[in-house]
Amino acid sequence: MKNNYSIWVAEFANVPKYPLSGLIYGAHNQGHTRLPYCYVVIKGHGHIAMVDVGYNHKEYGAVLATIYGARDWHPPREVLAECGITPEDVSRIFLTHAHFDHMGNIEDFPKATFYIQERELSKWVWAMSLERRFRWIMGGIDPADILRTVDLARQGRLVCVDGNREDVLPGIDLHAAPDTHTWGSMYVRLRNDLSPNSQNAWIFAGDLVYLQENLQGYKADDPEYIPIGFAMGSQFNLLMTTDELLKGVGGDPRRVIAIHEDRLKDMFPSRLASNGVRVTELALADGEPSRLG
Amino acid sequence: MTEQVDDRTAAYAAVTLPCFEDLKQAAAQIAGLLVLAAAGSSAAAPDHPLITAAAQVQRQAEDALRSARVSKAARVHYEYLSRASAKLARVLSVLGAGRDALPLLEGVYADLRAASRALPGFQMLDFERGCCGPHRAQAVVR
Repeated sequence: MKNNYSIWVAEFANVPKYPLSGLIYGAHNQGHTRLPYCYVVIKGHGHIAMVDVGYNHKEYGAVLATIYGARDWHPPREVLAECGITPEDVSRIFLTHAHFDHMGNIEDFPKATFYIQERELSKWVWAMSLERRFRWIMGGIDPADILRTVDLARQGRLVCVDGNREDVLPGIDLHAAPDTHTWGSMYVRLRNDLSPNSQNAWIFAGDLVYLQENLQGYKADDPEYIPIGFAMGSQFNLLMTTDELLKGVGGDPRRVIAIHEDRLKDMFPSRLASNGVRVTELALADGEPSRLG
Repeated sequence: MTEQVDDRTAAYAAVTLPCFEDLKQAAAQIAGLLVLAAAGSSAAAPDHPLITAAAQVQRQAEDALRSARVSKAARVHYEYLSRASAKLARVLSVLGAGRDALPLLEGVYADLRAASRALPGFQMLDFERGCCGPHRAQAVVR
């Protein structure tokens, strides 16, 4: 199978014990799981792109580490080095949504152009006008991130996408998933054979899917969709989007990449570097050396 | 921050926490409008109702700050919060005059961030309600 892009999932931090009920709707009192924080690195056609950028340890690392147990945070320079690249090499970044652990580190990528759904920004701005008692809605949003995007926009490095957009890079499409996990969530579909009817497609789902259970349920012989445990929009929209995700990869749940899924490292070749950074290799373009050593 | 504070400081914090939250929200509203405007969004307009709302919130915060009884341990915090409020008023004035408010708004955030570090309980980002931020158990009121 010919690949036009190399794809890695890089883990930059983790929470050792996260309640399953936050990840799978209705999984109350079913214990905890390890929750990795990752971003996706894509290399090919003269570009290096990423899906999401993680969070800013300088601002939040101490709080997350000391109060909540998040640990092993590594800066992008250290993480990307495991894929042989630097933050300055990254030219395109696709932000799946505006939560701090997905768009909280944009300042570390000085040459990248960022893509986000306009609805994600405009609805958050609207939400800020609501009374304080609605503050649950603003959870996970860092106002400082919004401020930083002003600079990006003025530099012409912010692209507000309205709906779907095909071929933002050859074979890479952005898909809107409105009123799901957030108001303007987005997922990225990569057609690694560049074909419109791709037989080699991957989907990077952001937080539309947390675990394989969201895609397949608990019974392999009788699969069902189970939404994630956190929807700003509706569970129905999440289910319909889940169906769309699976259809977008020809029905193979392994190709819907959930960056908080700890078992990703068991589903694909993976390496834990001596510095604690984990890189999982999904695909290699022709001539690209493996980063698994 | 997890250290204990004295009773007077706790009383001060109870009064000023809503001010802090209001200032943060008003600043975020303005930042959001600046983003939309810079990105060429039709949702942004100079007479957007959010600006009026932000001005009202700023005035409320200013009034509340004036009435706060500042303990010795809270002086630095109060100074940052007062500065943030004053700068936000200037942001609104600059916006009204059609000038660039971004540098001043960055100053508001810097002061709010400094205030958040000066006393416990004043968080710039609410981790309790984030989706992938680990949740802590909270008391349930019945």
